[in-house]
Amino acid sequence: MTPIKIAMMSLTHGHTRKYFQTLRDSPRLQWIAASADDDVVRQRFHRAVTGVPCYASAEEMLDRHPEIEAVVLASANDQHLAQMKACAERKIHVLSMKIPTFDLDEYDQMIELMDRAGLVCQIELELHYNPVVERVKRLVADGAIGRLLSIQATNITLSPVWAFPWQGSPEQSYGRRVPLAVGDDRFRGGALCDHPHIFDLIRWLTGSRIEHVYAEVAPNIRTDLEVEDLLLVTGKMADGCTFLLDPSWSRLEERLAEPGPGWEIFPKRMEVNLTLSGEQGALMADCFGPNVYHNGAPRDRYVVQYTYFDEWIGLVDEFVACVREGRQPQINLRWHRPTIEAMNACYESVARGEPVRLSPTRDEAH
Amino acid sequence: MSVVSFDAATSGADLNAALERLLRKYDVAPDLPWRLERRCEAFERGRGPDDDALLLVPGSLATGAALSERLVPLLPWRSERRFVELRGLVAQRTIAPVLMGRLACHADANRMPLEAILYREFDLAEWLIGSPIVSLYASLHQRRAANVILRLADGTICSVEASAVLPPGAALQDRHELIARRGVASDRAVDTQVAQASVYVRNAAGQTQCTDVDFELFGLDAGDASLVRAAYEALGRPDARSALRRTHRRLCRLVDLAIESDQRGERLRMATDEGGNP
Repeated sequence: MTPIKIAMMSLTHGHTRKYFQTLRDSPRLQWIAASADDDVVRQRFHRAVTGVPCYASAEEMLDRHPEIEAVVLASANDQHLAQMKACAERKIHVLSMKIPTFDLDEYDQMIELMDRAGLVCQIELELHYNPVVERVKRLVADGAIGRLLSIQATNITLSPVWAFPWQGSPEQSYGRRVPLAVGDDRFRGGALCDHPHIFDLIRWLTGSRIEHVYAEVAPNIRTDLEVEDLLLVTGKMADGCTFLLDPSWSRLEERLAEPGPGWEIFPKRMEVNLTLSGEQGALMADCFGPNVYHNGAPRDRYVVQYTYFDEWIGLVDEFVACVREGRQPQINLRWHRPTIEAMNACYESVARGEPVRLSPTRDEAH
Repeated sequence: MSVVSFDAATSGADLNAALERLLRKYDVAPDLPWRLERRCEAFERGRGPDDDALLLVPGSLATGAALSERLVPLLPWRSERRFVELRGLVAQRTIAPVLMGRLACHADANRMPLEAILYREFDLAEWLIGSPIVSLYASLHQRRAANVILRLADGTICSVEASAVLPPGAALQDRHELIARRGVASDRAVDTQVAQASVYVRNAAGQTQCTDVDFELFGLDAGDASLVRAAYEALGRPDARSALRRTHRRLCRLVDLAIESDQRGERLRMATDEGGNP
């Protein structure tokens, strides 16, 4: 298979660094270039990566490298539509970050753009390429615990806003400035926007659609953020399975400008745990464990040192195969739309103080 | 050796003998005859005590019982060391202010039906955090699984994950985490999913694990020991019994409210006059 000539745009997304090794190492990719949003980001990139040119704008990068076939949109959420348009005009395939946009009109424009140009657009939900999740999927599919009655899932992390400030900006993260609720001085765009994975997983594991959600926010841990950092979500799938999701930024962090050792105040920076209750038993899974532990440099605090898995390899392998074989990936724009709708419904629920029901989309109804 | 579990309903330990020893040792003379039970089938059928003795049972397993002066619905988890310590961390502001609680409990339905789990976890939410529940939204499945979001009077929100789907005889799996602006407290080790034991034995007979928590009541597991401790308190302080009954009524009402919330698909508020949680 001919390697795909790939580039990265913006380099401001929290997952940016996770691509560096995969883009360098994958025999199926040829990393052509990158573009950075500003000089600070560009300098950071050059400290981490050598031998790949980094441009001051995406336009310059694309003009200088017409050979680029695909792009990783490693940018703030509010830039995705414009960048996707630029890609569609140049017939460039897209690997999108986990939130293409929260604006459903924009979202539908993205679908149309990609469809009309005949391009692959894969959404980066890397848990689908996590070996623990793969085991859970197989166990559930094989009936190990029978029909699912209830799912609890955590996607709790530290807050990335100090290193990636756009994630604390309502406009850049959520797309606009929408108060959480009447009388609440916070806005949509925080922890919920960072954690779509568990909404996606409950759809995948049950094979059902989210029928309704109910969400509540707690007072913030970080009182200087203008977006939410603690919330809980419950609800039911159309098949009756009940769920409880915790997509909070409930693990405190040092306010580092660049992620690295010493980031954690709470020993564990990230957790995705699943508890599934079925008609014939229960299943518990830690999607990122077990790990190793130390209390060494730089802060001598007890820390969970992750033994990260290789999600980005599987994700990129699928992307490459789809581009070369002209098919759409399992996690594409259409599949992902109900997840975005459900997340929006959570915000609606917070605002209204009541559950919000979701109608089946055209794709789900089929 | 005792296997780790909270509700050792099938354990052969003689709770009444253990309680009797404790009462004698500390020279406590109960004002009435008494009997301690892990669960009471008469209550599960909706009847009260059938003799003149005080019947001491976990309140969580007497939700269907008619409350009488003879019934003492105990809250044994409040005597478990881990919960006492968690509560202390909040009360002494070692972690403060608490903003969110994450409570989970999965059990074998024969030992702990869903209603009993909710009863216990609702009490723990209020008792650990030190604030009454003012509203809840619950999502249930067939009385076998429930997910609940609580809001407490101090603004804390709290999740309760509950299921009664573990196979017969399985040890209870639970977790209690309190997240504050300063600090997080939990009864589970970081980066673990299930309880750790204090002793593990692996030999030709297989694997055994045990967690002994009470020297005075050595031989009882944490669940039985806390039940005996709770009963001891109730017998030694007759005035505490009416408070236990008030709390029992309130917790039963909260469990009913959760079921109603699921049926109506609404967040429901707890009336302010429905008793305080001491």
